[in-house]
Formats: sequence, C-alpha cells, structure tokens
Amino acid sequence: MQTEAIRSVLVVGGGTAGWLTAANLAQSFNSGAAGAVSVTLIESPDIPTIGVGEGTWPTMRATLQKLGIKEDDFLRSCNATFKQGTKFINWQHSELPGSYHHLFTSVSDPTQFNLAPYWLQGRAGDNLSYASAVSAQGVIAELGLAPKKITNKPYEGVLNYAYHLDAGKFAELLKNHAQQKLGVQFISANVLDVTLAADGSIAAVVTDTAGTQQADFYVDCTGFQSLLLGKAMGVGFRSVADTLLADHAVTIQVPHPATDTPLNACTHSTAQAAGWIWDIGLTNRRGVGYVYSSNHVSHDEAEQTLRRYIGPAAESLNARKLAMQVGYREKFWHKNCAAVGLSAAFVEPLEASAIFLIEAAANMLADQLPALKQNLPLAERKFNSSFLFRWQKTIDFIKLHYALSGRTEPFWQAARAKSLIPESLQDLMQSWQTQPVSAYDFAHVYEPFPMESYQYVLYGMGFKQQLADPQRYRQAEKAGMYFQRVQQLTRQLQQELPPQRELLAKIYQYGFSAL
Amino acid sequence: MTNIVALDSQQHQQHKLREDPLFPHIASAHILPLEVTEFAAAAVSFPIVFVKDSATGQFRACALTGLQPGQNLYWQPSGWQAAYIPLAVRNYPLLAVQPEAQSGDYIIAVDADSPLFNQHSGEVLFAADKGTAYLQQRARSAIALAQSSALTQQFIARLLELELLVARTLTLTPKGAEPYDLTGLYGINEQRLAQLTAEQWLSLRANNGLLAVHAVLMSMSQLPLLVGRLAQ
Ligand SMILES: Cc1cc2nc3c(=O)[nH]c(=O)nc-3n(C[C@H](O)[C@H](O)[C@H](O)COP(=O)(O)OP(=O)(O)OC[C@H]3O[C@@H](n4cnc5c(N)ncnc54)[C@H](O)[C@@H]3O)c2cc1C
Repeated sequence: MQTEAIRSVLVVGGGTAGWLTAANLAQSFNSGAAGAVSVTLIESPDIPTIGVGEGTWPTMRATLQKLGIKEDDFLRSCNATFKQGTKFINWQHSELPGSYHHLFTSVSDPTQFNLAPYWLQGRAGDNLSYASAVSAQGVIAELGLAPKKITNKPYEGVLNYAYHLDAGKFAELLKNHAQQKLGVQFISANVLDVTLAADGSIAAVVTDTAGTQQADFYVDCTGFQSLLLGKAMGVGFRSVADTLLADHAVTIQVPHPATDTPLNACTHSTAQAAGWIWDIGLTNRRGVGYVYSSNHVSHDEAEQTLRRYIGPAAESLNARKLAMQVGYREKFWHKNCAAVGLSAAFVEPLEASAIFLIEAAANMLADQLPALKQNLPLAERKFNSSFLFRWQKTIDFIKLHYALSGRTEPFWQAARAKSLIPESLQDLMQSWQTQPVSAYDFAHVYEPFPMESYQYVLYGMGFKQQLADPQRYRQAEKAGMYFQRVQQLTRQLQQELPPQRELLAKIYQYGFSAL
Repeated sequence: MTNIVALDSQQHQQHKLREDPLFPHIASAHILPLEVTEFAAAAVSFPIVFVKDSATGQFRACALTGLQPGQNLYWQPSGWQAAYIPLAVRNYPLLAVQPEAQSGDYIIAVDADSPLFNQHSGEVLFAADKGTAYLQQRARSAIALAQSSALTQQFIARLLELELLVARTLTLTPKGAEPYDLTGLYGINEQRLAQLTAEQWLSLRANNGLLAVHAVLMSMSQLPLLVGRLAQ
C-alpha cells in the first residue's frame, strides 16, 4: 500500500488558482504524454469564480513562459496591460495629499549594494524621493510609458514588470491552453460531496453529472469555501481579522470613455477613511474597488465612497460587494490534499500577493508532489512550513503599510495600534530606526517580498531612520555613480519607451519576435 | 527624414525623377535593407545580417555597411565602393506599397523630401495624365522589390520557426579608442543548422531558402574586410 505510486491528480475548482495549478502540474508531469501522471480539473458550471484578482507580480512572466503561453497571445486575450509597481496615494496623511511608488526595478540590488544610507545622507540630492533616487521606473510609470519596446523579446523588459489582467479572460485562456497543449482533462460538474477514507484522507469526490471521481492526490481550489481541505477534512482556519482589519470589498468595472484613453502604468491604491481603493487599468476598462473594514464604515457608505472616487462615470454602473475571509488554514496540505488559492489563505489584496502565492504553491507542488505515496508526509511538512512562513511574512508586509501611516481616522488609528502589529514586524521596525534594512533581515530563500519592497514602502511612507553609526557608509563615490546612472536612465528611457497603448497596438499588429 | 506620399498624375504632373549614381541618401546608413532574392549577389560585397525593425520589432535582412550607426564604409564622395548595389537603394526614392495586404495591387509612392524628386531636372513622370515609359519601368522594379520583400518575410519566418537565428554581438576595437559592442545583429546559427532533420533541411529548399542560408553564411567572410575598411 505504502509504496503505491501517485498517478493521478484531481484539481477541484476552475478559478485562477485551479487553472494555474492544473496547467503547471500538467506541464511539469508531461501529462499530455501516454503513461504520464494525469491531471484532471473539475469545475462547477454554476458557481462563478471570485471575478477579481487582476493585479499580478513580475513572477507571472516566468509562470506564463513555463506554461508555454506566448506573451502576445496572453496580452491580447486578457486585455492585459503592463504593471510597473503600485502608486500609494494619501497613505501617509489624512489631510496632506501625497504619494509614493513601490516599484519593481532598482538600479542596484540592495542585497548587494544598499543605496539607502547614502540617500539618507542626501547624496542623491536633497529633494529626491527614495524611489526616484534608486529607480527610473517611477517617472516612466507616471508618464504612462511601457516597460519595454517592440524590439524586446517576449517576457523580456527594459524595466521589470508584471501585468494587470482580466481575471475571467485569464481563466479562460488557461483553461483552453491547459486542455489543448498540456493535456489537462476537464470535467464540468458540481461536487456535491467529498468522501473520506478511514485514515482521514480523501477517498473520492461525488459530483452531480460526472459520477464519483477518484484520484491519488487532490488539490482544493474551490475558493473561500475550501470544500475539500476545510469542509471535508476539517482543517481549521486561523483568522487574522484582528491584525488586518479590512473585511469587505465593493467593486465596479468602469469602461474607458474612449479606445485611446491613456493607461496607468501601475496599480493605484488610494487611502480612504476606512480602507483603500484599488484602481487597475486594463485595455478596455478599469477595475476599481474599495477594500474596507465594515466595523468602521457601513456598506452603503463604502459604495458611495467608491462612486465618488470614480465620478459621474459610476452612475449607470453596478457595484458588487464581496466578503473577505482574512487569514489562513492551519495546514495548507493535509494527507492527500493541498489547498491553493482562496481555499488556502487570503489577505487583503494590497500588494497583489494572492496570485503570486498561487504561482509559488503550484511551483512547489509540481516539484514536491512525490511519485510514491510513502513520501507524502515529508512533502506535506515541507509545504506547510514553507507556506506558513510565506503567509506570515505577507501579513507582516501588508501590516507595515498600516503601521507607518499617520492617518487620523478611527480605522487607521486602530490599524496601527501597536498591540495588533505582529512581534516579528515590531522587531524589524525597531531595528530599522537606527540601522539600515539588511539582506540578513530577509535571509529565507522563499521570502515573499524582497528587501527592496520593504525599502520602497518604508521610505515612501516617511519612516524615520537615523543611522546610529554613519561612519560605516564610506562608499559614497560608488553610490554617487549609481544615483547619477538613475538620473541618466530616467532621461534616456523617457525618450526610448513608448506609451503603453502604442506598444500594445504594435504587439497586436506584429507580435514580439520570438528571439 | 522621409515623407512618403503616393504618386499622383495630377498633383505630380510637373515632377521629374533624377538618378544620382552617388546615392547621397545612404551616405551615413550603417545597414541597408536587402531582400532574399539579392542575397547571393550581395554576399560577395557585404556581411548579410538580420536586425529588428525599431518600429515593428519584426526582423528584416540587411547588408551591414558600417560598424556604428551613422557610418557607411562603402560610401565615398567619389562613388559607391562595392560591386553590388541593393535594390532598395537603386529604387529610391520610389517604392511600391500594397494598400490592402495580399490584394496584389500596388500603388507607387515616393519620398517627396528627396531632392531626386523635383520639378527641375530628371526624367518626366507624367505626360497627358499618364505615366511615361520611364515611370512605368521604374514602377515595375519597385513592384518587383515589394514582391521579393514578401518572400524575404516568409524566409525569415521559416528561419525563426527552425530557430536558426541567433543574436550576434560584434565587439570592435578601433585603433586608439575604447572597444565597443555593436548589438542588435542576428545571424544564422550554424550549430543549429547542423542539427536540422532531413525533413527540415528539405523544407528550406522552397523559394531558394537553402541558397539564401548559404549566402548569409558565406557573406560572413566580408566582416573582416568591412572592419579593414575602417582602418583605411
Ligand atoms: C476584492 C479582492 C481583490 C483581489 N485583488 C487581487 C489582486 O489584485 N491580485 C491578486 O493577486 N489577488 C487578488 N485577489 C485574490 C484573487 O482574486 C484570488 O486569489 C484568485 O482569484 C484565486 O481565486 P480562486 O481560484 O482560489 O477562487 P475562485 O475564483 O473563487 O474559484 C473557485 C472555483 O471553484 C469552483 N467551485 C466552487 N465550489 C465548487 C463545487 N462544489 N464543485 C465544483 N467546483 C466548485 C468554482 O466554480 C470556481 O471555479 C483579490 C481578492 C479579492 C477578494
């Protein structure tokens, strides 16, 4: 029994998580070939996907490339645009308008050479923000320019980038590609029941129109309901609602007024009285949503706030309200079932962490799913400790944005109450008051957010850092060269990079050359 | 700068077309477009390379005539220094464009900013509202070029399919100056060529593709000669 092989995987759920995971597994296992491990996906024809989740992380480029999807096909079929970071608007103060960028590109990898101490010493110039001192990308994004040119290879950027995409169209693209190119078997049916074996592992899923389906391994991608891991196996949910206070979102899709409306080159995130509004530009519409705490604002008021933000264009448009379960499962992998996506964990979408953790989970599953059942327990332990770490660090990073805010509304005051800040984050913030952010603060290989992300947010939010021993930073000349290089690149790239729409039009017409 | 407009028997009734064997318009062009039908003839004069068109990102074939932008080592005030003159150079300032792709119909256009196109000297283009014999002959060669250009695109598409193109960086060390890289050039990957299956190999024969591949490879022997011109 224990030396039995794992020959089949059943993914339940066909949202972003289900299709990304099924496609990745099938690609990795070569499921299209005769005799390979089979990957099957069951999706309900009746239960819609969550329908949001349209901002990604640069990891998506590697993911799409691994799956063998052409970048032009992806851009075209998902109304996708290039995302060069997030612009945080009014996060620092309630009264004083202001903004900063969390970017994907820095002139120097700070784990190799950290420019921050020299920026603090004023060596980049007096009135230059940290982001503008270490990266050309903020200016490029503000101008609405693309991160690459038509002469770049697919997935290659002049500047690092991610995407904004239409979640529904993305699942559709993956669904077709996974079936046609990667050998994923598809079943359209509702799972009515999940039966357990004597040892508590999943024995089968019972469907309405496709009978009983069995597999050697199951992946729960059923969204917030967590049908397999949560409901059937009874793995508990650890809420972090006391740390991250936002528990609802209201969203509206806003068509662009014209086909040539300029496109934002980064996600906008604008602080509001009881949360924040995301604003993501696709080629045909914006996706806009207010993530808020229902303890601090009524649902009606939240919707009104969102409508005011959008302006007159919102009048004829429908709003959709979503409840968010914020937290994570006690285990992400239990016996012969792993959960990926909303069924595993969710935190407010402030840093687009959900999809990249789906990519990460699918990658790890593809690598770690053992060929023999006897090796399942070890894989389970590794997976669980890895993703517990990643989710806790994600929660810390999201919390950092709130902990640094000086906004005065009750929601914001509550959100930065010291008692609600995880100790791991408090320790880091304490040390950063007098010493630089260090590569050793992020020593884990699977740190979800890199050192540079923390620096963009810390310095962007005006974190007070007074380096206790300024004598240590003696490479001012080298730093000066980097700062100059950024200014030179900023000028040069403004000339070279096309506006987003112009590049997209060329991509639609010509495509990228494969080379 | 170029200013491409369609030739029009009314509007351009008074215009003439002059030929200038010195080709001043390419005095500082470091690459010149080539069509696949010219490769064999061009290979004895220049290295044949592939570059991406900066406006479309698509590959096109070119003669490499200089080692940095703005430099044409075959161009001299006294006359063109190579045995071969690319068709596009000879046709200039005329070109044929297809208003609708694949329609087979062409219109003849001209770079109206070229001094070769003027009202003072050269051959008459229109007489009694009709193209002169001279214009018809020039138009025919412009159309022939446009037709070869479609073949070139097919050839390049085939090279890409077979993964036969590879990026090449030329590192140049001019005497008494810092070495620099000439980037953005692509050539034929010989290793990959050697690995083609018999079937892939034969598929290249269509439209004389094999000849073209060999012409490109042979043309690489022009590279040291080009670099040598720099020293002169
Ligand atoms: C307001 C909001 C904004 C977000 N913004 C971002 C963002 O910008 N970036 C980001 O990375 N993430 C974001 N996310 C998260 C992101 O939307 C999700 O992580 C992602 O869409 C994955 O969802 P999923 O596939 O796990 O679940 P779902 O999309 O809910 O899919 C569940 C699937 O399970 C199927 N299913 C359910 N029950 C059954 C059954 N009984 N039988 C058969 N099938 C069943 C459904 O049909 C569906 O196909 C956001 C989330 C929210 C709530």
